Formats: sequence, structure tokens, C-alpha cells
Amino acid sequence: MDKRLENLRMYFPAEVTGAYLAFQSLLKTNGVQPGEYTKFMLWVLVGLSVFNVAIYWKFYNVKNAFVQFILLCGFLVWAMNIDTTRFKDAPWGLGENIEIVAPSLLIFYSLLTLFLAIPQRNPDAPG
Amino acid sequence: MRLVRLSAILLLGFGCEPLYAAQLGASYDSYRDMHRDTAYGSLFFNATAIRHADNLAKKRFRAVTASGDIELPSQQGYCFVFNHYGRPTLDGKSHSYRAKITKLMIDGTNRLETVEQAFDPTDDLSSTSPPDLCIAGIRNVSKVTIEFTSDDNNYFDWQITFVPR
Repeated sequence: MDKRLENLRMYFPAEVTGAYLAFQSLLKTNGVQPGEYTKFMLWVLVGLSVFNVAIYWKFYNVKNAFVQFILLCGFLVWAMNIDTTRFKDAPWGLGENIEIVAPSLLIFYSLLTLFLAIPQRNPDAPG
Repeated sequence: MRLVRLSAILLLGFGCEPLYAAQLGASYDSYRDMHRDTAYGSLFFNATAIRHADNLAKKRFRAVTASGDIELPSQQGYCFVFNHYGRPTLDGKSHSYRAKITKLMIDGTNRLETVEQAFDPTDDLSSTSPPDLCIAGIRNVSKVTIEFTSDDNNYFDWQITFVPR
């Protein structure tokens, strides 16, 4: 499963996944337990999702809304899988079965990526 | 034989347990697990939370398994949380719980505080607004006794005693 997650991470801009991991690390450094700050991290996820779309749009030339949507879903699946404990208390019952739902979505998404090439960054893009 | 056993129990305490021995039981790191895995009205100590705001943010629940004396770590205040999920019938009514807090001061006097608050039973596993109680002002207090009661049958009836450290 870890390999699947690592493979999936390759689909997203390193700035975005790196930022999420940096927020996780920031909380840990400040004594926050893995199950706490659920709402805060959900807002972080919303913010990074916007950046995810913007970075694909600007630096990867991904202009197709459907492809953007698929990539965004993948980012959310990745986040759910690396922060499962935190999202147990996600609102609207989203976290009720997260230990089953998140890996299941990862499996399906991994299958989906067989049909989806990793987006290539523009050669003149920064980073 | 019976006499020997009785004598052993009386003299050495073999095989006997204190009548009211509350222990801290399982740990829960989320509201979902705490609500899902324990019964309506279960009581939890929220470790490291010392005020109401902490009690909402921190999820370090330790189950109180029975009424009686409990041993708690050294803290500036103590917070407790109830499971308000899984009431056998949800009638949409609010209920209230009461806490009678008796603080035995070092000088031997008692201070009595009472707290009464309303709460809503929930069917939301991840509800983050459980009935709770935080105890502050524990300087010069040698023992704290809390008697919880409610107007919801006897689900919330607990009596715990602890020594603040």
C-alpha cells in the first residue's frame, strides 16, 4: 500500500504534497496528536487543492476540467491515506469508515492511473 | 477451609478487590472511536486538557471504567467528557446533566460547587460537542469528588474521586 501511495504522489506537484507534509510535521512538532486539528487540516486541504489546480493549470498546461477534477480527487485520496487518523472525525460522516474507504479509493485510483499519464511540467516552469 | 480463606482475605487482602476501584481504561484518539466503541453515558478523562477550550481540541480520551477512586496524572486542571452518542431512543429532546463537585481543602474544609448544563443526545459519530466538565482551582485541594447525575435515567450517574497532583 505504501508503494501505491508513493506512486500516486508522483502525480501531484511536489510543492503541494510537500506543503501538506510540512503542515503535518508542524503540528507534530507542536505536540498535536495525529487525531487532533481535524478541521484545521481540512481547511489546509481545501487551500492546497486550489493551489493544486492552479499549479496544474499554469505550469503543467492541464486545461481540461475533467482531468483537473480527476487529479484533484487523486490528491484528496492521497491525503486521506496519509492522514487517516486525523480524518476519522471528518464532518458529515466522511470519516466513519475511513480505514476501509481510503485504501479502497487508493486501489481504484491506482487502477485509474493506468490510463492516465503523469502530467509533465513545462520546461520553463519554475522549480 | 472457609474460615482460613476469610482470615486470609481479612488479614492479607488476598483475592479481594476494593469495592469501588475505578481505573482508567482504553484510550481513544478520536470522537468517532470514543462514540462508536463505548456506551451512551460513558465517562472519559481527557488527558492534558485543563480548560474547556482544550477539552474540545484535544482527543486523548481515557475511559473511566467504574465509579470510585481514580488516579490521574499531575495537571493544572482536569477535564472529563461523556459519550452522548447511541442513546437507545433519540426523541430530539435536550437533557441536562449536573455535577456536584466537592473539594476537600488542605485545611480540612470542604468547598462545594455545582454545575448544570444542557446537552443533546446525538446520532453523529463524529460529534465534537459532547457534555463535558473541567475542574479548575485545585490549588490547596487535597481531594476532589464529583457526583454526576442527569435527568436522562441513570446513564450519566457517576461518582469519582481523585487526588489532584
